[in-house]
Amino acid sequence: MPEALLRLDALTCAYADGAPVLSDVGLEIRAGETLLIAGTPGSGKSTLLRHLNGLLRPASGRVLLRGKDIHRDKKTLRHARAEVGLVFQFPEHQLFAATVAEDIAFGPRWRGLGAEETAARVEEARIFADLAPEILSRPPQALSGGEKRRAALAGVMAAHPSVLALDEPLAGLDPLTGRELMARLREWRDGGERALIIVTHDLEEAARTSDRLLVLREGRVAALGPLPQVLLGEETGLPLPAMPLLGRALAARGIATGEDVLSADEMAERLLALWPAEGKVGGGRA
Amino acid sequence: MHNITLGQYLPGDSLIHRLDPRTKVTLTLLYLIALAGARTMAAYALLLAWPLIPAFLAGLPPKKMLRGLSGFAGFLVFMAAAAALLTPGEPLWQGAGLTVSREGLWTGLTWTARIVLFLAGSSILTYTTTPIRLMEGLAAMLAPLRRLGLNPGDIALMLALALRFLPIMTEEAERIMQAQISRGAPFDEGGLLQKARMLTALFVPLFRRAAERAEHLSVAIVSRCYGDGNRTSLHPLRLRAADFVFLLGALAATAAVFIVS
Repeated sequence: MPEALLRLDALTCAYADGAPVLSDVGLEIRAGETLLIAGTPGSGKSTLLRHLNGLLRPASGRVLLRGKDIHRDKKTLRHARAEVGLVFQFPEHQLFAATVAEDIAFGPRWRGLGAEETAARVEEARIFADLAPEILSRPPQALSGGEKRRAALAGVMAAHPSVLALDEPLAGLDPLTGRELMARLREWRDGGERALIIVTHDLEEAARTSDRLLVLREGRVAALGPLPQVLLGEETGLPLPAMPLLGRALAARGIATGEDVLSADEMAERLLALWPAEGKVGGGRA
Repeated sequence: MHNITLGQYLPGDSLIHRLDPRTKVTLTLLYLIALAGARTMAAYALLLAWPLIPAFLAGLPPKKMLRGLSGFAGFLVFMAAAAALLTPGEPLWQGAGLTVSREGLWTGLTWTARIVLFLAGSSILTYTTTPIRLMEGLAAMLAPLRRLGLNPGDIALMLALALRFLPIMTEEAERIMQAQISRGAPFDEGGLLQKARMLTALFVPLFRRAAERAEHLSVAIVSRCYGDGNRTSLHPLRLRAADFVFLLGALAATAAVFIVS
């Protein structure tokens, strides 16, 4: 089995008054994988993300990037911050420069890249985030909510990370834009030795892209495993996406499509498969 | 940065929280006058004991208050060292081309003590008074300025907002730093030149965000009818017995500081 790209060993984090935020969190993320993190508000999801690129230092436990503790020394930590890109929940907290172009260039500049290479990375990140060229010269505060979110993503992508950790990337995006973004992220993940970590409440959309689901409850791992099994098999406290709910409703009426269906396309396939063979839906294809 | 707590309000229902805001502003002013008049160790001891009484009665967490002061530690050390080295007088220590004078050391220590006591004393006002009550108190105290054609409500609002902006701006600075660190900015590395570059990278967006916030705030205030008529109060200000007790106590303490100085 290949070495984990990112590994958390018994990670624990507490507030200044000693109240625990994360307790004994352990998990591995491998290249080519997408991990979905879900949980109720205040369960420690965003705090967990902030540990992944060393923004927060664990009270105990370790964060290992390709087997190396990211807090081993300053050089390793700097490397981890380049390798693990973190997109904040609120893009306005992430954008700080005078123009979008300057903001995207911030990371490459602090890594000492030349003007030409920095400009190339800005352009590459702009295209990835689907930002119009004229947006580059605008101040971030003049952008719409969706544009801000994409500009924040571009700023992180310009550093060429191997692991991309996104906190609620679909919030504030219309369904179509959200779907396109997820497709682009999936494409990015499959383009090299890369992994995606997504914190979201929108299980409907994110589930299409994800392999495993981690459910946090009061800072502890409540469930971790393949997405359909965790989502459908245990009492996670999370609202079920529409397709599994439809699967249950159909099962109650004797139509066995299975509850592990997460997408509308897959549900349509299963229904069509049942249709002619068992004649359970209406009187045949129209 | 997050250690700076000056300007924060800590909710509570203590005797100090319930005092009239005019009383608390007057107590703070009396404390500042006493602080300016202190000349001896006995006076400083009295000034140190003074804020402990309201802090205790308000149930303010000592750890939080000390943490609030620790945010200014670097500035205080720099100021004390500069005063000790640059004030001429009787040499106390010499070495490496530097001279620490007796007068310089006293000046450095007394100014450090004054600033620490000022921060501790004035933070009790903001810890125990909501922005609205503080504004109402200041507006009532500045009412005589109306005769000069000035609007005391505007002045009070400006003062109250300036105070409240302190914790907001420290939070904002913290956010910008986090965003920059996560994208590779080495805040905790490098020499003086590197640190100066980092501070520029921090302060330029911080000032820009301050201007944006001020603009949003002004829109929010105007959209809620600010300045459209005479403002009334949900809880009209009223001095009670406890206010007079504290005012008399503070007057006595101020007199005591001047006597022992």
